[in-house]
Amino acid sequence: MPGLRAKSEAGAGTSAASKTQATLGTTVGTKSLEFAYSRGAAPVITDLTLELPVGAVTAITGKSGSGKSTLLYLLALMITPTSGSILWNGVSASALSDAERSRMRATEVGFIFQDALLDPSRTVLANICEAALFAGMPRHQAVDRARELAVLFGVEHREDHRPGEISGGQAQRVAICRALLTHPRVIFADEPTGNLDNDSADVVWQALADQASLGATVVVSTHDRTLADRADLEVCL
Amino acid sequence: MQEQWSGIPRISDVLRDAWDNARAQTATTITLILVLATVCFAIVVTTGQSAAAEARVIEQIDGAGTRLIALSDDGGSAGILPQAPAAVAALSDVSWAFGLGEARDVTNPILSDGRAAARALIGDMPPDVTLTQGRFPLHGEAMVGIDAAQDLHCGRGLCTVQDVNSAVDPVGVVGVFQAHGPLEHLNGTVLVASDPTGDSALRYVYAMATNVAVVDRLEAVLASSTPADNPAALTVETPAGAIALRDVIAGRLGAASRQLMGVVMGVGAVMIAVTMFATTISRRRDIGRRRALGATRSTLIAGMLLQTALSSCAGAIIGTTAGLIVLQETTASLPSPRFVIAVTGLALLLALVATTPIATHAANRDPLRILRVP
Repeated sequence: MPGLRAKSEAGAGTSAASKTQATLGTTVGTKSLEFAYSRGAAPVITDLTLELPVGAVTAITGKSGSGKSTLLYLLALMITPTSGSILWNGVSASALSDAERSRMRATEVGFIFQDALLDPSRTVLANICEAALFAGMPRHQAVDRARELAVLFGVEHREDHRPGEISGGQAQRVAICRALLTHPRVIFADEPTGNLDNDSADVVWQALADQASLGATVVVSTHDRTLADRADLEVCL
Repeated sequence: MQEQWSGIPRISDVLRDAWDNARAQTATTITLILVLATVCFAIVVTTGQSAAAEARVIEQIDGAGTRLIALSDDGGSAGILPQAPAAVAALSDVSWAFGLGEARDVTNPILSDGRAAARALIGDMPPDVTLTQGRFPLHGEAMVGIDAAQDLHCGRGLCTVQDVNSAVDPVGVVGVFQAHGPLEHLNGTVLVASDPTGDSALRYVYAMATNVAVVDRLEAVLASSTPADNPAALTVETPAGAIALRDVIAGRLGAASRQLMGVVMGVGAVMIAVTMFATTISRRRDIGRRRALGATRSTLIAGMLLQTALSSCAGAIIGTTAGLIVLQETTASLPSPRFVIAVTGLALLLALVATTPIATHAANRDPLRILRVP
């Protein structure tokens, strides 16, 4: 039975936090959530009700196949539940149209993937700016903000490089820059440290903790015990 | 202070993104350019050539008078009034009209061995009648056709003509004309510009319809619209045979090449669809990532269609230009600009139609299945 376990107070701000902008919080939660991949199939998630608080990092943990990524994608409104609902600030967001949910992701969500998932045909700077296109953020503002984030995460000297020319750790930092470009209120990270060494994993974790300290709702799906232990809350599936 | 974005992509940014994608995905872009260039080239050198030939033949048929309608007073009892040409020319479907009076023999009083038919002329001369010497006549003056000028020995258009059967004063000739196409028979006559407010009856009124399609309608109303003492005695002649021939040629001459165009377009559509399908398969994680970053399905579809449109435009322009160059070099006859624009537009439309289901399918894929790392 999945449960929500409080572990510590929300993380304090750090150097990166002091340079990123404060966000207004958005609570994300579920109510009687159930999800199955197809009609008649055994549900991956059953009767899950929880509320993920603003200003905290929540880790979603569990065994392989327990539905960690599925829950993350459900919370991020990328898929719709079989029954129950996804609540954003107490309102059922899963009932919205696909276009409305997409617009919410574009304007309020930052998404970090396990393998960075950068566009190999574009430069680092263009990859960071990609999120601006869908948010409707003016290009000049996006470029300024992307450069600011690149400096913050130490990839400014790589901004004209292609993803194939940078390391895995740098790629994940670029992915974090892309996720933070539009000042998101909610950040989802799917196994963000899965392919990284300890130093790079620390950078990623710190970035997430910084955003939480600034008022963002941060949700991380992970099987990394160390990372889960550092989270403020844990949802164990 | 946090900014609130609209969540609606800016058109300029979507265009820029499509351009960047077209530049980044060189294999797709080159393939689309090649396919569209081949389609347009094939259509221009086959159907385009046929269309040009068809246009030439139809132009020749039209030149022979598919639009010319002749009202005649064969028995001389209809009494066509001098105001008739102006009344007919005022009809909306008529480009021009003029009337000719009864023929009478005239000769050059100085060198009287030659004779020609002279007719009173009322109305403006049509574009098919051009001056080779002198000017158009004022009332009471005359101009002679190029054949009549030879018969009457009118050197450089300066002569007089006189009725052989009456003692009226000679009429000054101020110009020589050449009539083309259906009015070519006028080259042997002398036309004496006459007063439209006079009382002499006309024997013929020629009217040019604005297009072939209205000839039947004009035929039905022309007799009753023409000022005459006895309109029932008027005979209306239309080139029905030429019109029928024109319709047959317009329908059949290009039929085979139009069928070929259909096949070329069909093959082109399949190739475009296959190319775009392969592209979306290879880009499925890109598409999934974009969905996660907030792209709506319609934004993704629009982006792919724009990318196709950019590549297709380049291919269509290259193929059409190459086809026109080949036609110019080999046959020296080019299809009309309308045909060229239509082919380019049709090819572009074809590319977009072929891409739409592929783009829609790609945009509707489940992002979870695409993005999950095993």
